[in-house]
Amino acid sequence: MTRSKKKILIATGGLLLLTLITAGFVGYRMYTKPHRDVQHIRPVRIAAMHLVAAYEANEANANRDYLDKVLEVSGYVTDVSKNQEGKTVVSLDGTGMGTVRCTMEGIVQHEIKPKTQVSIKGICTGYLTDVILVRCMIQEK
Amino acid sequence: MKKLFFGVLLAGLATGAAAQNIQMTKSGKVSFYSRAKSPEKVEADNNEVSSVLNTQTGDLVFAILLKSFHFERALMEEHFNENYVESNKYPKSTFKGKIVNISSVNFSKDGAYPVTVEGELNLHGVSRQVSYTGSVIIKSGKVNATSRFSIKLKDYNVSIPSLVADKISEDIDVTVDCKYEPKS
Repeated sequence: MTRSKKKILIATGGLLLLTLITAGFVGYRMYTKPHRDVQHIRPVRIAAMHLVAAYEANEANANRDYLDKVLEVSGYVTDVSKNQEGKTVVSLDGTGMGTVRCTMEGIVQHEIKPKTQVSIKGICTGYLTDVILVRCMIQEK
Repeated sequence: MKKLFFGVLLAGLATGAAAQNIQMTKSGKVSFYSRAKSPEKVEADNNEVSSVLNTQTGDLVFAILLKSFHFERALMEEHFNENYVESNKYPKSTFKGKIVNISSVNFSKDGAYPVTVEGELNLHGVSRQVSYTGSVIIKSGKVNATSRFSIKLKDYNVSIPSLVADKISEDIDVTVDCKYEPKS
């Protein structure tokens, strides 16, 4: 084998190895990528009343506008409860029929009282009889 | 009109009968996992399940948003939504049916009552007639319904890319656990 042939072989081998390592690294990063950071994503701001009204008027259109988006919803608290996992669920006043039900992420630091006005940021997962938001957090005024 | 259907159905079931016969929840739990030999657990939980049970007639409805399923890994959640259940196109899964042996449940006596549920399960735009077994558990007047069953992905036209076919089982185990409250 000539010297130049050897060089080419080594260079090709090196390049291949580098590609493999890069691909492995990128793959690993993708595989372990974190969930969306709700806190730092710029939200779509909307009043609870308008959000519920939009879903009641036309669910498909509302899904196009809000489904899977990070929303910041403001409204009056109508109910605070716990779900079966012990997570806090806050309902915001909608249209009288439906509400916006927000499953809070982690432990809620502040006490949330009914009849107070709050802004809650979370991911909209759609509409059942209420509009559902998950991984929610209270926004400070 | 289908989009209105289940809202109306839930509301209809809830108002159509005397209030004392209606048990409901908006934070029921449904989980699933794939039994395949994967080094990684393929499992997810949904804690935003709506369900209404008429204790008189046995009528039972579930409505579930697929985007509410939470996976430990973000990438799995993304693949589940985009490639498998296509939750932008089909955001909901619903079940509408009956507990066929509702008369065997004594709602005023503590105990675990085996039940059979029959009805129509809709997932990924496909509706199928199904029959599953479960339990209604009565404890101090509170109603809890549980079930464990398995569904075949191909029955609902959910296809698995061949690349991950050995990681994800064709059969998905589903568990349902709903703690109801009387309709106020």
